[in-house]
Amino acid sequence: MSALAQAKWRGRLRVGLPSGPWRQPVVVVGTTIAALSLLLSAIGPWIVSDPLAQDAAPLLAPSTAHWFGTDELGRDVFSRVIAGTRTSVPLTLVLVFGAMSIGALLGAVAGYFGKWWDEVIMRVVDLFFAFPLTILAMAIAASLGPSLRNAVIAGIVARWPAFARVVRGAMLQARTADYVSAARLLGASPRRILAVEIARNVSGPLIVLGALEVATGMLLLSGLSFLGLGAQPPTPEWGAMVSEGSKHLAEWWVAGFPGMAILGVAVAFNVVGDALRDMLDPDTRAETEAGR
Amino acid sequence: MPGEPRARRAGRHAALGRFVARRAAGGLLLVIGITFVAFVLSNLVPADPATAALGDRASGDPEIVAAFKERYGLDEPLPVQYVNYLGRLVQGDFGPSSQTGQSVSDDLSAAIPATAELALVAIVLTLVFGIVLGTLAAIHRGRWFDQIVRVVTLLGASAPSFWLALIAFYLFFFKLGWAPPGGRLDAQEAMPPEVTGLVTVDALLNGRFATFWSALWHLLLPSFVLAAYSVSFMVRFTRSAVLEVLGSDYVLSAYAKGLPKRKVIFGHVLRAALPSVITLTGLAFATLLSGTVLVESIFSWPGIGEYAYLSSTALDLNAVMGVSIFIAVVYVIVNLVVDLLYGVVDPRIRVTG
Amino acid sequence: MRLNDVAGLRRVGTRAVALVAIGAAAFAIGACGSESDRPTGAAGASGGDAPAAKGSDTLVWAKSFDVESLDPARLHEVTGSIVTSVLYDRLMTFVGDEPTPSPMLAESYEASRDQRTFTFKLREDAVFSDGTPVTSADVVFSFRRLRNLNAAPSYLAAGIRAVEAPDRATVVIEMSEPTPGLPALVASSNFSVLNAKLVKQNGGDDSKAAVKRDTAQKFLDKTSAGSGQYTLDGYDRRSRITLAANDDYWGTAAGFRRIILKNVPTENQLLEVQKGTAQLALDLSPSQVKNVRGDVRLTTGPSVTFFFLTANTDKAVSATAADSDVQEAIRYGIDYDNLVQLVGDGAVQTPGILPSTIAGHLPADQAIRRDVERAKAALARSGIDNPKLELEYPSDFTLNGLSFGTIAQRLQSQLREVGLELELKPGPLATTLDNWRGGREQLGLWTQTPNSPAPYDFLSFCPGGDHAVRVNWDKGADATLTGACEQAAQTPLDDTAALDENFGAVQTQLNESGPFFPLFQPAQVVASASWVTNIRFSNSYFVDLAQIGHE
Repeated sequence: MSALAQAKWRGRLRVGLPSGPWRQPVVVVGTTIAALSLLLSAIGPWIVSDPLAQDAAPLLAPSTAHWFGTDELGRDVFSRVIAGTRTSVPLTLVLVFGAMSIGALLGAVAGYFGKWWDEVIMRVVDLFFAFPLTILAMAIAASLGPSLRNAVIAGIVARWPAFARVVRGAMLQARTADYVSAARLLGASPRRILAVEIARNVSGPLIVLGALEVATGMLLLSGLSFLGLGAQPPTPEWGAMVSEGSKHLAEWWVAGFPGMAILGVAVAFNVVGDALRDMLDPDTRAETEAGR
Repeated sequence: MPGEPRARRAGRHAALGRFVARRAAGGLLLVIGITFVAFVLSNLVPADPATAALGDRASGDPEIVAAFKERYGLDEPLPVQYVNYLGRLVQGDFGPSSQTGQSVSDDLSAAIPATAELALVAIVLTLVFGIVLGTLAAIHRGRWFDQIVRVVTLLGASAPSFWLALIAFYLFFFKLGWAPPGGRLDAQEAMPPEVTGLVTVDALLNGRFATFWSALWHLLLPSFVLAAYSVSFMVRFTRSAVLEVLGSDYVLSAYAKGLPKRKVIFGHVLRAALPSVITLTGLAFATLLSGTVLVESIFSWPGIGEYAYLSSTALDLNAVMGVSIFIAVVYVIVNLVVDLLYGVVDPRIRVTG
Repeated sequence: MRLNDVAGLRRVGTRAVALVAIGAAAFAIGACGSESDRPTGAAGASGGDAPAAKGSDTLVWAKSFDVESLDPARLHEVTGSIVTSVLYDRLMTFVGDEPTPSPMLAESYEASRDQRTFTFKLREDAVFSDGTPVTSADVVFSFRRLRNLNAAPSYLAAGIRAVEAPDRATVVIEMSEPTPGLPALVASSNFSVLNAKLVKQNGGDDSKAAVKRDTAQKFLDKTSAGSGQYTLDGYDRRSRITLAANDDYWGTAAGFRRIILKNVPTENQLLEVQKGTAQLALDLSPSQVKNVRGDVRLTTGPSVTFFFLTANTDKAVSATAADSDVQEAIRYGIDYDNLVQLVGDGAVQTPGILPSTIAGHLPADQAIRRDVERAKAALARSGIDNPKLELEYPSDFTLNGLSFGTIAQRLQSQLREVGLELELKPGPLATTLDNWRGGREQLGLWTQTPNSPAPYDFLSFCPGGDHAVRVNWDKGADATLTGACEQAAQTPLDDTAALDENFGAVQTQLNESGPFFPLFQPAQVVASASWVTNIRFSNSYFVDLAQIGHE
């Protein structure tokens, strides 16, 4: 579109057209899927038939009656996949917000107060990072007992260090930034400046990591459910559905479609996260990649 | 460095020594902390490990339960158990596994080489494919090769590994017959005499070339699946690192000076990206170890990941602790090595870090 | 700003790609073209992982390993018991699916009047794999060790007061209680007869202090010290167990020269049998084999394990569960046929608390049939508004490919139809087992696999028995039933008519009222290559490996 045409359209819509990183087709598709998953998690149950009903013949191939076929108990896989958004997506968001809150708080404390606080908190962060992700989450979920709630708790405990590190880094930068000292010299109130600068510095990486962590969280939750430590039957959850379907690999649709759902949502949020990073925080691309 | 005054060289060595010492001390503290966390975790379990290990009927017999508890030291108060555990740990004794009655150290020494072999191949794949594809994608930026690489790595970074493993096994073994069934070797193939525990290496050391090829063939599919996630990250990372450098002033001025292009790429571009690649490899290692839990069982790979999962569900406390501690220690060592290499490559870190 | 020598860079790139391609090709040629190393003597087995040819002397068995030890005095899980059933011999054995035991190392036995003392006469020609003869001293050693090791299966020998060997070929076992089922008990893999001299040389101990002194487990996990058809050739606990035919076996020769157990997760077993890389798979469920293709033979039969529902009789735990009207509602509200259908071809409803493969079981026509009206009426009589119960079950445990969750969900929807609401409470096996043993479950879903396929074990469902105390059903709760149980407990094993009559009475009473609801026996499916012959299910050892052969 020519610059003139763009300007005209912007004027009419009063809203920005996709620009920069948001213009690429991959990103558009990704954002759409992400939005769709959120939408379905809200209205899902009303638009599909009962995911728990066991009234069809088991292990039917996909057909016009059952778009994704049926599973070993005769349940419609399509309904279960759509209903699964209700389970997987909101809980992943809870996981991310939980980890973000704890992580951001501790990271901010570490970065702001420094010295002793910093040492202790960062050592704890290192401690948690030393446990490979799945094993830590698995140990926690196994100790607490398998349920979706405990899997989410396990996920929060496992992922808060990632946020803590990012926030601490941003906090340190903000504290020592030149413009802070400069503004202080000019007589502005230190607290106010700090608050504004911190918010500006931290919010970017935090939002980016949040989006990317939705993808990681989704994989973690479904992984735990696959092992039997997360969602319990008959709850339709994608990881648990893949596990059930693994006993019937020849009937590929039982495990295939839920897996594709996980893949789709993870891809979507990865893409959104990348685009957000390009928009908000392009310099830290390497850092964010490394920090996960 | 030649010509350097001795005092200065000594000073540099001292700085490096202090650096290593600091990091090692930190690592040790970390390991102790890990043992504590592992201990707490494995004792959070609400159920009685004796019931789990003995089965329904046996756990009704108080004599059997008492013998079990005595054998595994479960009748002492918790702090005492922890101290005893640390004491034995220092001697390399992880205690007996309540699943088998054999020592966890034995179980681990059997399981570790299997995962090590898998992880090593996966790391090699990560580095080779990651760096090569990433560099190529950066060079051919915007063209079809780059687009394909970006889409594929996006999928690889977002796919659930357990699902990928199932599909890969079904497709490549059952449908296409290109891959062998699970396991490190075929059922009928004799394992080579054990030297390192790595079947490929042991086979070579004993001149069993056919076994070597077979072991390698069995390694392929599981390591590919395991590496999918980290390869994707490595490619994307390398690509952006190379892109950054390609557009930098240093490179342009090198070209302007007339330096051969190949030399520029290999000389400067890759060297500039090296420190970050090293860090990323360390992280990739952690991701790989983490991924083994989900992937190993599907390929009947008798490694640590599967062992960790089986021990968690069987509430085998000694085994769970043993695995957690071992993995954490490995991670600490890998991080130490990465930090060291980083320090060697980037001297600024040594002084300040 | 574009670099103007990107073309040069691209040449570098193309060359790199070419190198990789050549490397891959070389590798592929190397891998496919080579023959794997094979130990000599495996006649007929072809290269690599190509399917084994018909008539091969090696049997590859794909099994999901749960093996913890091959020491008969320590093992208590399926894989171990099947393997030791052909590594060792026993006094008596179960041939195929026969409900009563046959002589093995013992030629005959005599039971005292009070069913307390059993005298076994050993055969003279049995020898261990190292050539030494099997004597009564070996039997005494093995049984004493089983009891004194205080390991998981020791409770099986708890009732043995003394084991004596008056001479080389006689063993006298004295029980502390009348135990008509002893001949069946000594047929279990845990009562395998070990080569006492060999085991003692390697740390074995059968004294009262065996718990501390015995160190033979490590040895027994590597070498078999038995007199069976096969010997242990290799043992890698998590991936492979190799059995080699015993050429000096005193009885019928082994059907294969080698049996190799390979650890394969359940979901991949059928794929391997179809592909030919394995020739035997035991963990499959009927629904998994429904669409099987290829050169695969399926053998199905009912398992000896049966699923049952329990209701707690303690009002303090749950007044609803303890209510006899609610119990009647459950009994007649379950749709047994629907469950059997769900579980798959070859499954059967369990007519009473004795499975259909055990001597003394009820005939199928006496099993409970669903009666929705009766169930609803019973629920109404109970006077409880909106009755709700929690159903606990292990979430991580599968049997024959069947998961408890699947059944629990079906039960939930069935009982909902008669007005009883179930809340599903899954948990890891360790936790649910704990609750079950502690008598805290409102409703429980469990399985029972007998220690020995004799009916006496199932009297644990009588008031005061092992199962009954788990639902807090104490001995005094039902005098008539207790009387019938005591009579059944004394019936000798070889008196089939009396077994049917006495055990029939017990089961009929339990079917009328009580906190136990037998559901079904799942089907066992064995998938094998079509040239493997004589696959017979066994109550004791799951599949009678001793009978297996090939065309």
